[in-house]
Amino acid sequence: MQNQTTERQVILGIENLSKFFGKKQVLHNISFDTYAGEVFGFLGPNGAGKTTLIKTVVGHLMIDDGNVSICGKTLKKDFEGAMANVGGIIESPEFYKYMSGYDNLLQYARLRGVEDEARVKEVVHLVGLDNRIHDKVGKYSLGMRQRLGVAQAILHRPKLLVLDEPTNGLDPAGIKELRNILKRIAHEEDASVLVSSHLMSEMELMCDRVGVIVGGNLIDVKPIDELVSSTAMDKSDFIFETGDGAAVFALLDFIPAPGKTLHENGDVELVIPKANERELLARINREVVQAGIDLYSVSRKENKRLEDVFMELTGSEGDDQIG
Amino acid sequence: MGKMVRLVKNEMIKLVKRKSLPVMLIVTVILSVGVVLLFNFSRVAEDSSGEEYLVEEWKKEIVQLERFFAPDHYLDNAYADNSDRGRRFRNRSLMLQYLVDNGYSPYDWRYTSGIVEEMFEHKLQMDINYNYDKHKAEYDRLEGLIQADDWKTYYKGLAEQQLATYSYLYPMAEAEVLDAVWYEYNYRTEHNFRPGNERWRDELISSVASSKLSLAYFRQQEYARNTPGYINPSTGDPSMEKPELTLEQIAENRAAVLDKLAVATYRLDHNIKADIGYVFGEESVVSAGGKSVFWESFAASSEFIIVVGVLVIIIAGLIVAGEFSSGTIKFLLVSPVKRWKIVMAKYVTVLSLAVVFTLVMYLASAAASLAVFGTYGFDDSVVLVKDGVAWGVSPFLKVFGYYGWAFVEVVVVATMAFCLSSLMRSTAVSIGVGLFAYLSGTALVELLSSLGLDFGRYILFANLDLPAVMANTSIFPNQTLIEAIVIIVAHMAVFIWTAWDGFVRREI
Repeated sequence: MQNQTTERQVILGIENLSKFFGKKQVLHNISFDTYAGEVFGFLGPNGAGKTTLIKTVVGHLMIDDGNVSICGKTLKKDFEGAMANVGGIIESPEFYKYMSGYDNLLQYARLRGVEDEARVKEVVHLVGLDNRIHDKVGKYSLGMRQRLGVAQAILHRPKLLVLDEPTNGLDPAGIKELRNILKRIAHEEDASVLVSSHLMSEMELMCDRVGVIVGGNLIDVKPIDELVSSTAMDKSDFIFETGDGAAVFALLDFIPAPGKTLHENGDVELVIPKANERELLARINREVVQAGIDLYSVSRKENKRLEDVFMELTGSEGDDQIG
Repeated sequence: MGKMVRLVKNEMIKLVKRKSLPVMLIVTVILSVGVVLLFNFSRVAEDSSGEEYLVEEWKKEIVQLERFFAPDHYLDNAYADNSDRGRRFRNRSLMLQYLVDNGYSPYDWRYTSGIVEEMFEHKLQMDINYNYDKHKAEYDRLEGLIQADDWKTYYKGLAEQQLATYSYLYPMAEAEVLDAVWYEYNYRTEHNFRPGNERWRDELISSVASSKLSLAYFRQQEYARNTPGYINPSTGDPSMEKPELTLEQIAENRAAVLDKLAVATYRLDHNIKADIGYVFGEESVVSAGGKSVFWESFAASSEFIIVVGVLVIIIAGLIVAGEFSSGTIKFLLVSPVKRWKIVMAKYVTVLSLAVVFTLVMYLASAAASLAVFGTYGFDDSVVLVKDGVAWGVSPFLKVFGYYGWAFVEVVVVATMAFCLSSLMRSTAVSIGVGLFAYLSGTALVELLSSLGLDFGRYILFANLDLPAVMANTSIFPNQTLIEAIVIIVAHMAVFIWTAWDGFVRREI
């Protein structure tokens, strides 16, 4: 993981970036930096402006106001110099279907001025496509194309790797593999990886830092641990699996209403202050058993934390956005 | 520059791997062959002037002549046999029969030089017993020459006869007469060109000889014009020396004859069999040697450049709109290459392929014309002449020039299609609209022209045939080159600017 606050090199610098589609402003004065050696996650509900931001960073969309610089070179003044450090997959991985994966990679190698077949073979091996690389892309599955997309993106050892929804269409093994590749590129090759996704659990496992965007506004940028704990540091979340959820829900009148939820499957979810967590748990346990209700399990809810943070941060605003 | 080369290479690879490019090349070849075949069918059949045809004519004439002597002829047979007319008929019939029996063709020297005719003239005199011995001797001598195929002796005799005749007619043009009458004999004996072996050469030699005789005539005329009261000393006949031409006419006619002489001599020296200038709209100075259908066909093929135009529209549609319809544009543009360079590489690729297709059509048309119409005239030059000096121009270059002018149309159409392609997201729509604009645009200007609607001249497609505009043979009367160029350049500017702007500023 990243070294404790040694001087960190800024790879992607975004300053006061605004973007309009017609008269509608879709990005509002966005500013943030990403650093070498980190995976930066970009979170937001659909339509929040994630893809717009990413497309602006790679030059697909014009910058209406503000500045985007990559490795110190701005897109406006030195497009080619800036883009030389960028690799990416934007939306779905589309290739020339009538050519082999290898020939597709050679296209990108030539575009970026790195016609080095050894390097092409190296990235093919890295994404595990050795066996199928000479097949026509038309015969690839979505997962294979996604891998080819990654190979294409890292071909020229970019300092900034931009991936828009990279885990789309991948099976769990593929996701894990991709996660490892991205982490390796960030941590070992000292690149900055910018990932957007709405798979929160995935982000939690992959990212070092997260930026949250809602309605075109960047509302928070924090390291992942900090983000999670900032909102939930003083609270714990437990799931009670019991014989009669409704009865338990009614029984727990000493817990304030916002902290308890009755799920459809009968589970009761409680959010309780961390400070007196042990006492409260003991009391709940006692009361449930005394009421003659079966208590099967009490479990700490871990893996959905970021999602909750996300919901908490974005609130109902996300629902207003176009899907 | 290196970057541009790499970008163009990428575009080329994309098209080649697509398999549509090889298919298009094959289509170009097939259509080129088709155009040649079409030309073959549309050609008006030449009336036959072959040897066999002429021999048949002889045979028909013999039958007609012999009817005069048939028992059921309305004239008395005794009259037929004994009258002067009857004897001439019989004599001609026998002469033709002699030619047919010996297999002498109408182009054989024994017929063309008149030796057989002369021989039968002596026979006629022998028949009526006029100076029998003298005519018999001549008859035998000529027969000997014919049988020995001794054309040299006979042509020498002809030259001597001509010398006598023309020295008598043109006494003040001694040098010219000598040159003219001895030309054929000297030329043939020097190179051992037997008459009747090569028709084109025989025709050219006759042309040179008659041109030289004309020069002698002009000299004599000139002398008579410049010398008032001149009487031709040989004849004393006032009608002979009365000048027929003014000095201006003499100068004019002499210049024309010198041109003819130069062309014929050039062709003889360079073994140029066919007169192919007519194919390229050059005035035929010496028409000897017949037509070359090969060149007619090859030159006409350039008018079907629409084949290349259509293919170029397809390529232009694939190259830009294709990236959008396949979604690959998103990857293409995550590159350290400015967009204008990418669009320029694509445009350069389209134009390069337009050149390739045009060259393929040029070569395929040449090969197909060769296969269908044979090699006659294939290695000949177009002979041009000015002020009595002749020179040859390769007809391949001429046809290449035709293709060059036709390429103007290809470039304009390619640019139009490229513009459409960079505005559309669908390959099919881009190609469809491009083809529609091209084909209906061409048809539209013809319709407007036939309806007499003159504003049609300002439509792009009315101005693409620049040679026709220059020759004032384009579909609207009196179009000027400047006007056409302005219209073309204006359209090109709009197309290029739109394509450029559409691609460079487009948000994807």
